[in-house]
Amino acid sequence: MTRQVLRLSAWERCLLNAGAALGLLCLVLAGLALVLGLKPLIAISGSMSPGIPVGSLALAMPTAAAEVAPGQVVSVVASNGTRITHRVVSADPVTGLVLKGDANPVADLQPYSFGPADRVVFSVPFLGYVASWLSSPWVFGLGGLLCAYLLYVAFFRSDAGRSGNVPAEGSASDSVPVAGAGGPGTRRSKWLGAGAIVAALAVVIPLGVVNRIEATQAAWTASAVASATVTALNTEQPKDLNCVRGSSDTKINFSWGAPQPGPLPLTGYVVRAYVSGGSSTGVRADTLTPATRSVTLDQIADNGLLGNLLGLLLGGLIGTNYDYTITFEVSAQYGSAWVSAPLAHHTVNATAKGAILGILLPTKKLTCLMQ
Amino acid sequence: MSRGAVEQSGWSVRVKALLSLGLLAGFGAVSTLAAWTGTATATSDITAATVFIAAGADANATSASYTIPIATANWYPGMSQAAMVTVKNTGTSNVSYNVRGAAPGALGTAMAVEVSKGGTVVNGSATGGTCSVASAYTKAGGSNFPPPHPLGNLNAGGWATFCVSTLLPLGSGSILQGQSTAITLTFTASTVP
Repeated sequence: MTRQVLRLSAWERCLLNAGAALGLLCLVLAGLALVLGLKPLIAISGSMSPGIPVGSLALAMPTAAAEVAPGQVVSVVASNGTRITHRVVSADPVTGLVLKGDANPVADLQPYSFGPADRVVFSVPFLGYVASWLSSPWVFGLGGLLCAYLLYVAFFRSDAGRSGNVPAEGSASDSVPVAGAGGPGTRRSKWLGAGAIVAALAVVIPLGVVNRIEATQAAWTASAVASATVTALNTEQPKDLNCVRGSSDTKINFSWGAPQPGPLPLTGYVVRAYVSGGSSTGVRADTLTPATRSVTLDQIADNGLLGNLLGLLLGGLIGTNYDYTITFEVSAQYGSAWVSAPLAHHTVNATAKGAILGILLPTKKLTCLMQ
Repeated sequence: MSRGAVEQSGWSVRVKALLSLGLLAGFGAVSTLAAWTGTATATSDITAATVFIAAGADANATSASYTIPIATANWYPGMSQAAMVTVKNTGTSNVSYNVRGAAPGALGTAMAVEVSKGGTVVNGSATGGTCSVASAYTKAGGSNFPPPHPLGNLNAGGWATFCVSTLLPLGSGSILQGQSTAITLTFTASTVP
């Protein structure tokens, strides 16, 4: 038996070893990517820096929609076809996938559709530049030439397939792809070589196409703010609330001045009466016209502001003694029913005391100040 | 044997030569990159371009914040004000951009805000100012701002003008007296591929 040998110069051996090593690396990576479904991505802009700077090569793994969680870095294809790799802010079937670049102050303009995404599991800075550089035609051509030359050396050069006269060291079980000597062996070797090359290409080229590297934007965002702080006005109060004794002991007169004119039209005044300090005993209110700037409170009149209030307080009981401190308020009312803060008089004193005829006919008195 | 030459097993040489074809898988993987970017060398598309956007009174805007020149005090029901805002792309990339509004609080909710693309201010100095063109992004009185509204693209160095009108509608509650709100329009730009 003889064993076939090829004569190679030192640099041919180097090329062969380098080619085989790189080729094997490519094959292993491509095979792994195919089995695990990894997708290589190149970051062509830097909004994910410093984690994933421009020119990084990242590996992304397909992830089901339910497993996409805030904090993960995912790569999705936007509606315009651009691939975007950003960090998940929120993932929700209703609002979609909200992504934000680490270096961006704000989240991306539009949420992306909720669905499976490619989760970035690994990234290497600068390797993207290398991959990108490898995609240039002259590198491709050089690699092709290297392969062609190595194949030529291995299969087609005149000494290829020629048996060297080296004694067989192994046994016959040494599998030598091409054995034999002379012309027929050489031809066989070349045919087998061509077949092997075609078979290898049939595996390698689809593998390369399947594992194609994609460029991904890590799109930058920036924002500008136009703003205005506005404050609504406080409507003007009536002025100079005045309290004087009325025409009898049971009456007092309130008068006030018109408020300073503002942009809103004055539509009237709102007057209220309630027990000072009491909150739950009820408030009686009336609305007056803009021309009316005075009101008389009468402790006797049943249908007046105060009479109504007292009726409410006493529940229709006649002859009861009482001593109430009443607050009287007046507010200006404007268009859109904007009502000013009230101008208040807190010390109206309404009393009923059974001095002369006992409790049957108490004496009622109304004063501007406490008695 | 010639000087410098090494004899190697033909089997090993051929396996290595076939293995080197694996390089083509790698080239296949990167070749689509060039196709994707539409250029022979994709490196040129890996850029550090950044995005800046400014808002201001006119095309000289450089600041990322701008105070809309409308009356700030003494708003009352029926009052309206309008002003122009220019948004400029001050970065090096072409961008697409959108607008998102915010107006917190009861007064903010009550206010009506309209953002029109282009147009001019009508009756600007008085308290009845409006915009001359229809609104593109509208917040009705009593409701919140709608979701962000896309405004299209803005090339590097380009700008667009917007007319912003604000109104406190008639019938807004008396409770709003003395309250304040910051009406904020945020223009967000993102790189266009």
